Amino acid sequence: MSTNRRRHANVVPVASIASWVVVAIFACAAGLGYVHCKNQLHANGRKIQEQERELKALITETSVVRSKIASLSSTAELRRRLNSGFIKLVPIPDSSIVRIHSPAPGEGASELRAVSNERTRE
Amino acid sequence: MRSAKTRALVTCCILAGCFTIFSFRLVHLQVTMGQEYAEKAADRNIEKQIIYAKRGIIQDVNGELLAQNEPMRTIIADGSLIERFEETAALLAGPLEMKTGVVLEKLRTKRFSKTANRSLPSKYIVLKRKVSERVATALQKELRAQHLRGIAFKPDSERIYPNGQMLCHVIGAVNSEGEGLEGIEKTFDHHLRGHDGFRYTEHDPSGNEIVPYRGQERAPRDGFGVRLTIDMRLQSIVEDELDAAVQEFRPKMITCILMRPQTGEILAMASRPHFDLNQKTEVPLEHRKNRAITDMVEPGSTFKIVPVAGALAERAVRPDTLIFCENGYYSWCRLRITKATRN
Repeated sequence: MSTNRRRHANVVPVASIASWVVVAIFACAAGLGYVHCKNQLHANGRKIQEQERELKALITETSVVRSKIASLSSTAELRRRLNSGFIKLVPIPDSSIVRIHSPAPGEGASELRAVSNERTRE
Repeated sequence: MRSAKTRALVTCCILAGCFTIFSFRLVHLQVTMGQEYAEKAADRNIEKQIIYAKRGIIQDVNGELLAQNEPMRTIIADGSLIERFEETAALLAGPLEMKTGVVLEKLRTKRFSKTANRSLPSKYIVLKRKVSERVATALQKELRAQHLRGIAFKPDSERIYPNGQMLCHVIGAVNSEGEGLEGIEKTFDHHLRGHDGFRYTEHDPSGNEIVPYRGQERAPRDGFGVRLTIDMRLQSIVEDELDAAVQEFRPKMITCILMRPQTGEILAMASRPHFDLNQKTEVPLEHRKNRAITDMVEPGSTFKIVPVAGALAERAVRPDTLIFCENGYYSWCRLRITKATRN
């Protein structure tokens, strides 16, 4: 075999290899991207779950505190505290009360007025 | 060369045969048995998680809370996951106010499995219901610190009545399932009760939820609130007066209604004997009765105002008209109706 023919026969198909390499890189990138996305999805899922748990704990805590506030500010509790002497109510002296008298009745107010059967009678 | 070709052909045939067998198996698994296996997988990994709705609150006319919910927990054990029974029982007994022996006995509960044909540790053991959130949180931390597995804390709630005995007959009560039994709790049960939601979740083999694979979800709708015309400040006065009357006259029963005459709104309503709404033990039926609306009591002298008002309105009498009272009795249909006499 002549040198020229051998050179021709052993030629490296760079273009073909390059295209396959590009295809392989794309495939690898797509695969890695898919795995990355999936991992991210699961990581976000865990984060969501953690935040949901925290939110639930806070809601529960708020409900417990709210219920405690309702119990402590109830009328029954107020009465209990009043009876135990914790809260002291001072009766308002008569001299501190201003009494507004009802206005004088108008004309005909003292008359008896029928409240029913007025129309039927007419 | 020929033998090499033959070998290649035989290899190809074997490979083709193998792939054909695999293909048939795949088709069998995916198409023929696909539905069945999908259902089995769903049964094992997919769970319908109930999201409980909150029962509505009850308020008085000024917005004071008369009935509300307090978050509680139900302690559940999974016997198949517990490794150190004695330690777990000892840890749980104190905070749950139970004897260690009782807890241990509960944890070791077994049930017969038909598939395994032998007794296996029970996977759902209710240790205690209505455990306060504070106790449950402390227990959860302690279990985690000691690496003890198999104890779950299911959310629950309890109906709380901040005023205890006050207005007990009007508010009524709920049973352990949160259904109204009496009073407002029963009358407005369909409004107060919400609609539970649900969520389909998928779990990995270790039981952890796979959040991205969450399925259909419906949010719960909490119950509506009810606001009464009752004014707790007036109710308090009425309760005090009833207590004073009970102390003075020792009656078998006593009832009082405070009403706004213009609108008919009930401002206060109380009866004796009464009971504490937060008391979980049995209360006698006589104490639970709202006598203000259930007992038939003749109006007596309170009704005199009605015929007198009618007679005045019809101009049949005047305020200064004298009425002859038949000397204390009245004959009607051979009956002799006498005036009431006080003993």
